[in-house]
Amino acid sequence: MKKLLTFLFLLIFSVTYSQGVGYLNYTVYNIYINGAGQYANNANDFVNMFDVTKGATVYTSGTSTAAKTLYFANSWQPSGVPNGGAYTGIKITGYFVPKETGTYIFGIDGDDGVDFSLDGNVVTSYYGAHGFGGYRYGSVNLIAGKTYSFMARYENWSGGWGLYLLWKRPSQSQYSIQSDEVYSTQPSTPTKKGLVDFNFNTNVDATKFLIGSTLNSDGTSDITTLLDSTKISNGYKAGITAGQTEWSYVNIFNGTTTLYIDLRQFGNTVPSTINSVSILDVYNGPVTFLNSDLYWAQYTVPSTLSKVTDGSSTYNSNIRSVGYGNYAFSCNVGFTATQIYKPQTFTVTTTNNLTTLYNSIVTVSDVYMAFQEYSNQGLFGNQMGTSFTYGIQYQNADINNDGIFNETDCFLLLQNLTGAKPLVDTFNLNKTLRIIPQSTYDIIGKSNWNTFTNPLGSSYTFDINTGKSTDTLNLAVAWKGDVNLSHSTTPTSNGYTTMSVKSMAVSNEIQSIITSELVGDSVVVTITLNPLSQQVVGTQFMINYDNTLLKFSSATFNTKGNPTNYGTDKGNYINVGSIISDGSTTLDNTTSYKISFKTLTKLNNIFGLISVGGTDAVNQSGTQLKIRLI
Amino acid sequence: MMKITNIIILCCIIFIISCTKVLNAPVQVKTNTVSFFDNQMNTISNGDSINFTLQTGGIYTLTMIDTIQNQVVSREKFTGKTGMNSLNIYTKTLTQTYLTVVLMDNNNNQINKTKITIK
Repeated sequence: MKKLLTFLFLLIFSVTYSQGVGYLNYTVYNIYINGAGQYANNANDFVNMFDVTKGATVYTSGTSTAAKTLYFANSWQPSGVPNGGAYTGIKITGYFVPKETGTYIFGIDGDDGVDFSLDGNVVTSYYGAHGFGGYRYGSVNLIAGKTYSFMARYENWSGGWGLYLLWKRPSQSQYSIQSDEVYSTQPSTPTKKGLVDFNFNTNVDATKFLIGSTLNSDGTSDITTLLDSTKISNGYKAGITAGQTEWSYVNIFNGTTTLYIDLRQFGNTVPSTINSVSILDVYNGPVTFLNSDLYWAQYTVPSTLSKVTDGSSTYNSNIRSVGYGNYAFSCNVGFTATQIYKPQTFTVTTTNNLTTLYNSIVTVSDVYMAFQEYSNQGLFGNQMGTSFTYGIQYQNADINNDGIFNETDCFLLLQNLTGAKPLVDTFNLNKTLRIIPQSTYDIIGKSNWNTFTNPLGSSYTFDINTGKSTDTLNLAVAWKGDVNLSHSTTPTSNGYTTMSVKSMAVSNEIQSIITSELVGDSVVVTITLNPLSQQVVGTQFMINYDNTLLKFSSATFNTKGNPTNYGTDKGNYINVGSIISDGSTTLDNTTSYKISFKTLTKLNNIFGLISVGGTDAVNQSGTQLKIRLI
Repeated sequence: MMKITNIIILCCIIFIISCTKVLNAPVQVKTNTVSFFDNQMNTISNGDSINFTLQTGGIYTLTMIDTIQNQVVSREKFTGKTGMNSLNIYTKTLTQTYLTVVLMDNNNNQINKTKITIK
């Protein structure tokens, strides 16, 4: 009898456990006598091969993991196969819920015929008689959060056999089986609603970012369909109900409440797995496990249990004051397993060309501000500079992510500006973006910024076990290297700030003139500077050129003092300018830059071949300046 | 004999007619024959030609101005000739759509201006 109960328990458990996300259903067919030919040469052949009215027989069926059902060769782990794999077909079915919106690419290989369909449409196939011969790819546009029916089919007549099915999301470069996108049963929509609200800087266009679908212009998006309703085990809840024996008591002292439960009541339940409790009518909520002694399991209760101490509980007769803040409960104790929503994750993608966007995110004024802040930190770097206002500026300026803002970071910024070395090897969101809860973002201080672990990355994980019907994620966005916060969220003013960010008040203008001229087979672009009354220590000009007609030759500089001048060819624009990182001298109105190009074809004139893509400048006190081109 | 002569003449006429060059419709050249600055608004594609007349030859500048930002975007210094001048406008590097083009002489006197829309 005991064995039977154990068997039934294991059966129920295994069935329950093997449903849902990460699992797929399979049916194994014996196709030896099927009247449909030996090989599937098209989708319809598969239909005939698996048609039990035409001679196919179902050998077995069940549910197993995506890893086992979508990648196998000469072995079928979920179950046995007839005829040692010969004259065998397998149909794998379920549901596919994409994590991203966009073009998915699926690759399939098999021995012999295989195909893969979503919503009944074949995405990719490798029909006919063959061994594994390399992946056949097919692409399909999918919508994140939408449920698609999933079907992969394989058949083998004789010899080796198997199926490989892999895919990649729009944002991915590698193919794999991504178990979190497949379901054996149709996933239910969570009853909760999810909203995101990105507090983008006004210099960032929210509509060029996506979480499944494009964000609204105010940075908001409804992510309800992206929420995963799968629940996971989360320990147990203890129920303390009215009874005859004092199996439990509380100690309420100095505002701290400790709950004690007799260890004999636990049975097979492990005391440390209790994370919530209901006590008569006096408390229903979370508890924190402290420890167990020989007799009692102990928990901290985040409540002073006023109904216990003031006698207002309707179960007052079950509560006995035993002195010294102790109250015993005549009770029964039971335990129920609790489940919570699994952690949720979304991934941000963008339609921006990040390399281009970064030209405006990190400019000469960021570099100068970093140098200014660093130079103000004292001989031993133990003082706080005055150029940064917010802690997030340090985090953005910590280019090498070592938790220290120092000279190395300043020079990494300078190298990026001069074209010697880019900030990151590849400009993508994973390497440049920080998504931070606004409430955290606002308390990142100048002195404690490196205690906040805000990793770079385009994915954001969050919890929806909040008890609210709608969870709204209020998120700040920061960019690596954005020292002056020109494109990062401006923190809400808080006690950690003493002054406004200098770059925010862009009212100072200086002037510049650009002229281009065709001289023989060369084009010469001259940029002159008029600082007016400003003490200019940094300039940056992004000069676009038509690289189908022009080839960059050189950049020459006419500057006083000892600035770091730079003129870097970026393929379709030249990044040219100067920076005096210590602010010891300034750029006056004799400053000029000359950029030369060679023409790649005979040109009569060059109007429009050269244009200004962007500018930036900074003065001695670190104020960002507006260059007006006249 | 006469009949043969007529036939020969007729054949020659047919031959001559068949050799006459068929005139196709002229290829549309993308050139503004009307003076560029006579139009209040011009729609421009990359490489389009613009024509305008100068009273005197000399050094001139053509300047493109982003009218929204009030910023110079591009400027070319060129040598103009008296009478009709024809220049090309290149638009690949431009990120703006609506611009003003100003023609000035070497003393920065404005000669003419017009608006353009980049197609």
